[in-house]
Amino acid sequence: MRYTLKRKSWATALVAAVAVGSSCLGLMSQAASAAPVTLTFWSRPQGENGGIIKLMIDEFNRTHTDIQAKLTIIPQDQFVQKVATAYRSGDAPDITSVDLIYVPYFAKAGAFEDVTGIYNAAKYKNQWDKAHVALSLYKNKMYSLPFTAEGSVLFWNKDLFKQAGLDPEKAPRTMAEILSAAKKISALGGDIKGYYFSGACSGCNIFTFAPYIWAQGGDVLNKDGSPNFASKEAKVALQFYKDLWDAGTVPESAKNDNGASFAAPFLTGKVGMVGAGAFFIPGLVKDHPEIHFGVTPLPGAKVGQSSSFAGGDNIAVLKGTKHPKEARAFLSWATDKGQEFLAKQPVLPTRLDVAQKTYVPLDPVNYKVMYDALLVGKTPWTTSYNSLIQDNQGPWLKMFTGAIFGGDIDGAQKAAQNQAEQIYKKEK
Amino acid sequence: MKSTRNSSMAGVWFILPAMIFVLVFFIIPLIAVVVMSTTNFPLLGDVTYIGFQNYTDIFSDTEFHQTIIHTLVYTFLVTPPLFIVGLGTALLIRRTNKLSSFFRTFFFMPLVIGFGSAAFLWYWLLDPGTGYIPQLFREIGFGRMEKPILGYMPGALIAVILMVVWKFSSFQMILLMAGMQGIDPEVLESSEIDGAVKWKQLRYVTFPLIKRTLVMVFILSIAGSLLAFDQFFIMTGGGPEGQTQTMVFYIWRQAFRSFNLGYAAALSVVISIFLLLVSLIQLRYIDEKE
Repeated sequence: MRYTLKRKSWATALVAAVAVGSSCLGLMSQAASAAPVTLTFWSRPQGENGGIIKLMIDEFNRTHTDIQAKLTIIPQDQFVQKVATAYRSGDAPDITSVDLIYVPYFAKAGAFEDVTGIYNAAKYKNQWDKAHVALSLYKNKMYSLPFTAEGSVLFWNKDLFKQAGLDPEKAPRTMAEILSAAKKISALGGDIKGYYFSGACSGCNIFTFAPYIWAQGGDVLNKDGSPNFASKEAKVALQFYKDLWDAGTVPESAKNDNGASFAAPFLTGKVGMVGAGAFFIPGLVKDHPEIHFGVTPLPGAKVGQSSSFAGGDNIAVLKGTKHPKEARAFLSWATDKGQEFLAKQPVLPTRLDVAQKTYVPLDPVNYKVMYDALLVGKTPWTTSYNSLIQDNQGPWLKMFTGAIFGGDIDGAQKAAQNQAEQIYKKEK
Repeated sequence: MKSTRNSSMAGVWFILPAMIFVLVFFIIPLIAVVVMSTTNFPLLGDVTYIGFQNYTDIFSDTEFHQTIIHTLVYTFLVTPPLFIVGLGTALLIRRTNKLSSFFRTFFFMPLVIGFGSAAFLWYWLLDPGTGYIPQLFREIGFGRMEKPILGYMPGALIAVILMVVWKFSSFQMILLMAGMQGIDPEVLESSEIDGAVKWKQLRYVTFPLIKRTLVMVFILSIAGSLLAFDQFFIMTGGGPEGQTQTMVFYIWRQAFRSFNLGYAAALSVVISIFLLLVSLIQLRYIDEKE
């Protein structure tokens, strides 16, 4: 009997141990499944010290328990190299926010996941601005989704317009009107000049000069990415800038400005007009209340023509991510609630509905112009953006400087077209 | 015999860390660059072996040929002032007295600033709007000074040369001063007793005795100038109209603008061979003299 009891108690103890052990294992496995997945997210700086993207990531982490995102800010100049090198070595992030001009390059190299499914399933599919969508496409598939937007517009100093006898509330509507206003403002004398551009900066001038070509109906690159530098529209725009330069309406320092100054001379209150983007508005309003400015679309040769460079970022999933499901969930959030959050910062969103509902009301006058710019914005589609456009010794800037400072517009266009064609053929 | 072998082995052990360092950080990367130069090696995408295609392309690359000419012109123009200023300051401060420590520090200071920082400093100092140098010229009556020096030739090249002389001549000063301090004072005294004036003493006594230092100074100066990059990248961006683009600048563009790493590797190999030849010629020259 004692023996039986002993056996019984052993059996009971064993069952109890198994039960406790199982429940422990169950709890452990539950705990393991509850641990959030951490996604790595790389972005170039957007806003001061990457502040805006950091705020957005904080918001994502605050509102999610199952997925967390870890942000790394990569300096803009090194961004493509860093992402590409990391991808090659298998250390790529799960997600990246990438300057939209580089999406075709990464897509061609096969570094991004096909996200056509997310794009097609999105209920706001038709609300995305066209330029960001066009840059996501490679061989009819989507390799990124529109994320943050930017647009180039013309800023004018109302006080200088008034001093020069111009109507301060009436923005120039054509290139000829800009030239005329710039001459009158420069005639005020002293250090006052009518217009400013960074003469040694390719990126600055694709942003603020190319829209003068696009507004006339011309193009910089054809749809297949081949160069179209020698167009008559480009000639008209180059002639316009050359006239501005020859008339002495642009400070001499513009000639070798590599972008370090960009639109900053406008902040001195001694420059009548400058091309810049949405990013320029908050600082101008907050830090320079003494400057009374207006914002208007970059015009073409005729009244009613306008265009803008659609800048900003697209968001993509790197091929080989260990968390494809979570990465796609992040993309869905970033293009939905994330857009609302960004618009409030204020960052120009890529969603037209969000821009209209949340962004424009924050500054109905100026932000409305940015919204309009988004509607007409263009971005060159090419897998050779760096060589054709971004390179300060490349054909785009050579055409620009050769025509405006060198004076030979036809020669500069022809030389740039030849150089660009060689690059295109080589890198195709 | 055994002791000789032991001491040889000890020598090998002593230099082994340095040999490993050179192997890992120089020889292996050099081999990798040579291998890369025989491929198309894009930043992303498949790597394809293309033999000597990159090397044959160099022959027809007129833009690269222009960078060779510019780099040689720059080297030819920057080497004499670097040496003259370095030598002049070395002669001024070679003797130790109350003021020499101050002047040594004073002349040496620009060298401790990085090339990038120094180039940025000069870029802004020369800015026609905010820079102190155009402002100074305006104050002393040189007109409005509106034209950016860095935006025109030869102003851009001259400005870079001035910055490099300001920044780098103190390095030559230290080398030359060390060389001159190694000369036996009695030799110099003897030449003075024999009636040698300062210039003749420098020409016939000092220079021959510091010949190795002089060659080293010239090798470093010429090699450094042939590899010029930062100063032009920051101050002129290769402009105006590409006229100040150096060879290394062009390699950087091929690698990090066009992402054509294979071609950039081939250019690097060619420049390395060229530098090796220049240094060998200089070393051969001193050996023959000796």
